Amino acid sequence: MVGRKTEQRFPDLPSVDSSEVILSVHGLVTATLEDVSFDLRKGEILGCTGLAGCGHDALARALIGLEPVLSGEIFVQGRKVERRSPRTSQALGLGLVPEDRKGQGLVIGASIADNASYSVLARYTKFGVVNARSLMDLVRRYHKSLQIRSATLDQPASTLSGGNQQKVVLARVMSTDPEILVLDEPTRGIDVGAKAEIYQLIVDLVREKRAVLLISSEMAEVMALSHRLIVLSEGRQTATLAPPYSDTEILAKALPASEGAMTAAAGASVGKAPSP
Amino acid sequence: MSQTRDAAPSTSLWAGLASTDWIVGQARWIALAIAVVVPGILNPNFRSYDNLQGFLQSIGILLILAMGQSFVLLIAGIDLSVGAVVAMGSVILAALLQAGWPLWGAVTATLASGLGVGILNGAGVMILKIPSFIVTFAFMGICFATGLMISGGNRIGLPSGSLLPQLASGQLWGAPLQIILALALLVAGTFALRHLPIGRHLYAVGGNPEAARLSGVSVGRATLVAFALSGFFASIAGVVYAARIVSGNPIGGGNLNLQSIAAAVIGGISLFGGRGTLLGACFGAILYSLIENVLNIYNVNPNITEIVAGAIVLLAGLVNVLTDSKRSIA
Repeated sequence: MVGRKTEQRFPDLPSVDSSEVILSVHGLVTATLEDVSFDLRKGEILGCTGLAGCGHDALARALIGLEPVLSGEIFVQGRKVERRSPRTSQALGLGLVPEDRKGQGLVIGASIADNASYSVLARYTKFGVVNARSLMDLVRRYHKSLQIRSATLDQPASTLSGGNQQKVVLARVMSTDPEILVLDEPTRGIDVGAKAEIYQLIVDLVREKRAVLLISSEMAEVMALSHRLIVLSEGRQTATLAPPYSDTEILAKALPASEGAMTAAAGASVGKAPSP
Repeated sequence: MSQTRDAAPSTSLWAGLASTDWIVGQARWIALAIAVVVPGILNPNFRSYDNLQGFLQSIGILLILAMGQSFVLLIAGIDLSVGAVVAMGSVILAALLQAGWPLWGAVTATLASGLGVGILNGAGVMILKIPSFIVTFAFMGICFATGLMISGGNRIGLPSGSLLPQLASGQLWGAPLQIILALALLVAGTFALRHLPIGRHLYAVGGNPEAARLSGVSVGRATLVAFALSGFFASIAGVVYAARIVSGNPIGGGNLNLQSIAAAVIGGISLFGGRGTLLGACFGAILYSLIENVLNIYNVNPNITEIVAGAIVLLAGLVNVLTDSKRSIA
């Protein structure tokens, strides 16, 4: 499952040379999450994995303010976050690439330029009027740097391939210049080539000293791209791991408690676990 | 899967979408041309100066209402209260003028009433999360009843010598005042939709509220603004209405809801939100009024005109469903 071939797809991970914690979560409890805690440092990629339905989507939603937090605390750059909403999160430098690209990431019928600029419209104004020129400069810059393949910037997002749609979402999130990026299944449903580009982008992000929370149920991905890794199972944080990772261990931690025990005992059969 | 590796976007698909848009765009103009040319050739009454003058002096209300309705349709809502706001506005205006208010004061109060109803509509949708057709349906009843209470159920005439009727029949540089007013609103509204952040936010919210919210767009504020504008435009239409019938009529404007929606949808405003322009809505209002005018000239029963309006909404809605579903598949 995690052969040599797939390893080659991943870019090298730069080392984390900062000890500055930029996102800190203590004992987070929501309707689906139980007691999740972690620190994320500048220039670090923290992986978060688990089987489908383990609650990592809820973690992304809770961080960005889409899901109520029942207890626990979230600190961004040392400041406790009190009122959370996508808008306030954005102002704090927290950007989310949501799991559901078409449902939450894009206004699918709107143009690439529109989609890429929704987050910063209010920032690119002159006397309250949208400064179309500087806004388009910004859009063009990300269109180029993210290598979005499209004939024009005016074509609807619906005409793009999945990978390019995802890059439009990334362009929008990047336009806010976030310090922390929460990427929820950023490569789901996109082709191999676009995946490689997004992996490279993630690594580039941490080179720029941004922090990334990489939420993914694709184990090879988080193993190759995470400085540290947390594993969720049924909404509980079952492990916080450091490299080198073993997929057997991750899987054992990811499986629901009862099954996990069985699988651990079975040992060799782990490799046949359902691939995401 | 079968997706090619980040291939350049399929140009044929894009060209296909563009050409459907192009055809739809042309179809509108063709329909307009037919609606003007055919009766123009066949019927001398239609092309008479009187009819043209009368036509221009009758479409201001619908133009303004269609634009107001468009703001709400753009965020995928619907405003069923506009007709009642027109009626209530005309009554408030006439009553205040009768009470000796100066024209500017009475007009300001009328516009404030429409803006207020719009804000309440928006608040109902935004805060209480009630679907817009319920909230605005409720306010339709409330506004009609308020107009009836103020007027005691009767028309209120304007004081003699009032300048207000000039708004409906007067001209400036040869153009009817109400058309100039509608044009000014078109320019201002189009500017706001294209060049103000809130205008672009309306499109985002209508296109996908969830994505808009995640993008940091305030969906609540966009909702409030859309309904406030619709109410405001409806009260402007109410002022024009009072000027036109030289009175306040508490039971007027009953079919204006259907007409404003028909006009906007004919003009390419999507019933599913996020798509269309005010210019399109104005175009729809003109086309709708032309059809009505032609039916009038041929002495068709006015009730049949309403049936035609209903049929047009259904037809335009069907076209809307067909074209939009194609987009979401792509």
